[in-house]
Amino acid sequence: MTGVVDADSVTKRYGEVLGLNRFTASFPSGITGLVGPNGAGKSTLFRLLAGQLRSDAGSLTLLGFPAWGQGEFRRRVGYCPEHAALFDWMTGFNFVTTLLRVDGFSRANAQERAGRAIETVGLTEARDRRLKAYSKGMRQRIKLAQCIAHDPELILLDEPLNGVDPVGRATLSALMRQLSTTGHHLIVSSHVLYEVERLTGQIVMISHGQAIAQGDLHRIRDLIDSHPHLVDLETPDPRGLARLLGAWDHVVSIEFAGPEKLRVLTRSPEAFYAALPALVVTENLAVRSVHSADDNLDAVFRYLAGGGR
Amino acid sequence: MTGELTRLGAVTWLSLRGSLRGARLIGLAGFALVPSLIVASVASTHPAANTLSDSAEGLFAVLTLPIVTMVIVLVLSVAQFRNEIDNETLLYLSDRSITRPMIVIGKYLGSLAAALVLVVPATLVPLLIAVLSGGTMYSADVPVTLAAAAILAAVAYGGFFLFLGLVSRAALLIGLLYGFLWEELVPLLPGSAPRLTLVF
Repeated sequence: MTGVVDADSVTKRYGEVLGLNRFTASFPSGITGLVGPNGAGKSTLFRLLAGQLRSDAGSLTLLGFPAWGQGEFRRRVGYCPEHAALFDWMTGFNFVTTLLRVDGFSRANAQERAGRAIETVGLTEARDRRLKAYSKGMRQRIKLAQCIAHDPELILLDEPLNGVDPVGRATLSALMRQLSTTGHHLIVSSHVLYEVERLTGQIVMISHGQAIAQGDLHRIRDLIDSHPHLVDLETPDPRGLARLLGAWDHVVSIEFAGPEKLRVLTRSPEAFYAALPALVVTENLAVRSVHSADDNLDAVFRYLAGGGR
Repeated sequence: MTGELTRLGAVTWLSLRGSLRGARLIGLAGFALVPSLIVASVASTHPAANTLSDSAEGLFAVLTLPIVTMVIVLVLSVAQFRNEIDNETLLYLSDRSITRPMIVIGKYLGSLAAALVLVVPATLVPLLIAVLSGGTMYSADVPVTLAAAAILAAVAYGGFFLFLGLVSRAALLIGLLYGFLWEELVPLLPGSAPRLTLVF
């Protein structure tokens, strides 16, 4: 594996609980989405990468260096934690400047970089306000400022859009895309799949501490075909349609989801969609709508995670 | 080397500044005032000059050193890592290019400096009150010796309690038990047992 972050069978336990369970994945250059539900292990992975936790087994490297390692290479990494509180008694400017000083930057250099980073995230007007007066969106942005202020090569963003208003989301998303076009590598975690889909087509899916899929989003979508697929149909004659569909060998189950609504589970969506028009024509059926409940990233995730239904 | 000093200085400042704020500062400052208030109270009864001075000096051994200094250092030291682990602000330091030992040293120095801001006045102000209230003048070595003892106690307690805060969620409780049971009772034992205490 030769990604910007490589994980090979990484395991992290919290007593009896497994935070990561033989997690294996390679994060390539550019933007990669780390997608999984809350509690899947995303933050554990980030904490391992940030050097706060040490893995119990396996190998985890970032930019070729062991994640538990210390030293100058850490200047090449920026980390924006999800839940972390802030030093509320500080101003935004002092917060970013102090953390740059912790990274060894001279006072003048730290102040200059802090000002620039705060301007980048759009907080210049609020930079001298105490952090305790910041809104949730502003707090996310100042966390992002401390993360990019030292111009790191690899940027780790743990749920960066969580709690941010729609305008803030658009601004931050644009900033992330801009960072990726200027040679930065980003790993962005989210439990909201459409957010990641808007940022990148390159994803790693995590569930129960394991990487369950990774690669190009479209290739992952293709994996749907090997899993049962849900289709909603609206028809005035659900019983008649159910009788005909029940004869197809790839149809796993049929549910009457409403007076005029059928929910069909098929093992082969391709065969289903190919045969349905012919059935409608030959049997003269009135099918008002066909909607694949699975035609989105959420469904891909549910299939791969195996917990969707 | 300059970079290392910059890093250490930043963590020390962060720790010092973070320690001396809010309700905790008010509470600890109030606690540090207790010896001064006791001496002022004794002075208000107009005792003999040498009695007043001896009381102020004696208070150091029974209250200022074993209780006031210990509690102030305990509260400030255990908070260094325990609070930052709980609210996750430690993450901002752990992902930086500073080494972990330097973070520990910086936090130790910061919490020690914060403790001394309270402990040194708690040691010296009662002596000053005694003298200003008509007590006999101390020889120069008395305040110097007491201040040195308070500083040494803060140095020793600080290291121990910082370690406790790093390894245990119950550091405050363990520290209080240690301070009030071990440090108070073991010195009463015969032989060389008192050597096992920090205050010894």
